[in-house]
Amino acid sequence: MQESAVERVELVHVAPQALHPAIRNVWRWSGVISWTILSVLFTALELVIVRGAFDKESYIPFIAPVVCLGFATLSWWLADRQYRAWTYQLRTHDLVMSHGLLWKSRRCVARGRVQHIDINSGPLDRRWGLVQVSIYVAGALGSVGSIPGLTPVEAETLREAILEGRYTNA
Amino acid sequence: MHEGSKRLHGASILVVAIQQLKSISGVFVAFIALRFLGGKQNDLGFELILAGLGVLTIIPAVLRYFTIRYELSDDSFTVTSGLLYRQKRTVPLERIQNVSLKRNLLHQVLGVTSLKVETASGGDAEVELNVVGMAEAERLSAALQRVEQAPALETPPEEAIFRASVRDLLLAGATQNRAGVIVIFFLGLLNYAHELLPNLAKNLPSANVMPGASNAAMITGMVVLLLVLLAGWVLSMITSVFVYFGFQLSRSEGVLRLKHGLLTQIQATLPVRRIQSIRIVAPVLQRRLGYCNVYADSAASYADHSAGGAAVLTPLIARERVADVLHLAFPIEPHRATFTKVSPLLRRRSFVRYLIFAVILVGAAEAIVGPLAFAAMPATAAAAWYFACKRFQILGYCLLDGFVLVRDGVWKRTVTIFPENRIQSISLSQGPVQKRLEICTLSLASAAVGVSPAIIADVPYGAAVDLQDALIARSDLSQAGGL
Repeated sequence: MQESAVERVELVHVAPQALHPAIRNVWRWSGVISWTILSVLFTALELVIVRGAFDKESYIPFIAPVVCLGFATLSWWLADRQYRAWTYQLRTHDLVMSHGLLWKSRRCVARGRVQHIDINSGPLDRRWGLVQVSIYVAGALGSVGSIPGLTPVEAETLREAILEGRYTNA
Repeated sequence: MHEGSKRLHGASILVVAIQQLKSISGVFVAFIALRFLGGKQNDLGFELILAGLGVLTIIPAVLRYFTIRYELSDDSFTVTSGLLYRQKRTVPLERIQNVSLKRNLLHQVLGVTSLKVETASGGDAEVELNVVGMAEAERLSAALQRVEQAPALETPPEEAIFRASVRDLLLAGATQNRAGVIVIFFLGLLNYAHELLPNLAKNLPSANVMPGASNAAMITGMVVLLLVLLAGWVLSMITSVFVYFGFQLSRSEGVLRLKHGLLTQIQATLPVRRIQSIRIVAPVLQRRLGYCNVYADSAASYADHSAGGAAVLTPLIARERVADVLHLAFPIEPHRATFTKVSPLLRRRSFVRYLIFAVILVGAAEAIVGPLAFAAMPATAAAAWYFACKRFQILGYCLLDGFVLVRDGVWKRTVTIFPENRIQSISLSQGPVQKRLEICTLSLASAAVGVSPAIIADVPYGAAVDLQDALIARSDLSQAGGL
């Protein structure tokens, strides 16, 4: 979990690329954090809804934390498999993003249609020195897809490579 | 061509003031009501407040008139506005998606119009001039579209026209699906009424006391409900006549021109090369009668004359004439399309989905009419299977002359036509069940705003990946002209 992002500067190419392994830590800890918050919220909700929920012998206060702990463990455990399922690939005409375990997704975005590209990073991303690349096309609300778990150098290389073959509207 | 900056039409003060008065009319009504309820007849305060409000609406209207200026140069359109916070917005002419004129009754009386300019940024119009004189608007509209006049696609240059008669519009209003639903509901009620009513009466406790009275109340309720539905149906017809009255579609020099409206008149232009996709939509009743609607989707928002973010090319057209309208924009022969069906597993999956819906429906009916509802179960299951088979027959895709066609919809048959070079992204998704069956769902998206992507469900996985790769490669190769 302490492994820091090693800079893997590679050119963008034909073979499908994996994300940086440190992204698993980002996913694991974001799971832990969000489930902790949810468990607190649900416990508070129980306190409001169920009368006498916090009597001495009542098991009710434990339901939410236990369930949330279960989900947190599950998401911790799934991070590895999620990581293996995630690939991206820059081809001549498009960028392909494949991911998902139960619900699989493979999205192709035409390179010539990319309007702009954002590189952003949340606090957890920064903890492991990672950034996320979001692709925008015209007409769509929000980004059409984003690739998490890249090093800043990789992200920059990818961005330039995507925009390189793009038509220019002079 | 370079000209100095111009002001809006003088009538804009009046128009804007009246629009603002309208928006705060609730306050006026409240004040007047208060006055009458209060019973004080000689209270000067109320008049002062009313007058104050009136002045408050006039001042911004006047300020607006004196602060807004627009300027048309060779390659851009600039609008400056604001008193304290100055804003200067420049729209490059080549980025303009469409220009539309909208005139309500007041505009028509004053001989002015509001003019909207849209680019591909979605959302609201980028520039709105409220109001300019009619002649000035025509001149601006032509000048703003000047850059557009080289048609990108091979299409016949001559002007073609489509009109809709009042009869067409009445029929269009009457046969939209919502009307269809009402009719079906109506027929359903008639069929079941004699069974439904005694049962309901028995289940109600009050029925034991006064059976006759309860029945009468029930029947009155039914009649009222029917009248409401009928009124909705008539309203739907009237609405479509008002909105699309005098509908006219024409094409000149690569630009489609639309004109319609009875009280509020709309004139819009849509450059052909800005069209992202065309949809031919036929709700079940219209299909039975041999009619359909045609919509054009563009990257501009089309907020005002919209049907779900799209420009209406025809409110109603006979099926055999669809090709004529289509040819205004796309050189494609739709009758030559042979659709590739998806996996037969779609039938099974749709059946299960419809059956779940049917069970819920029967369950709900049980709560109202009692165990009798379960008798309908075999029939609803059969209907679910019928619709599943029907859907399998209909759903399909076709690649034809550089276009992609997707057909779907049992109730509301929709054929979406994309030029290959308009597709921006293609998503393939596969749920757990689909994964086991080795099928997946494809969705094709263009830059059209407010239109959901065309979805092809349950395509065999291998074929889907091939289609996805082939389409996206073609889309990128032939990027003629951007948006």
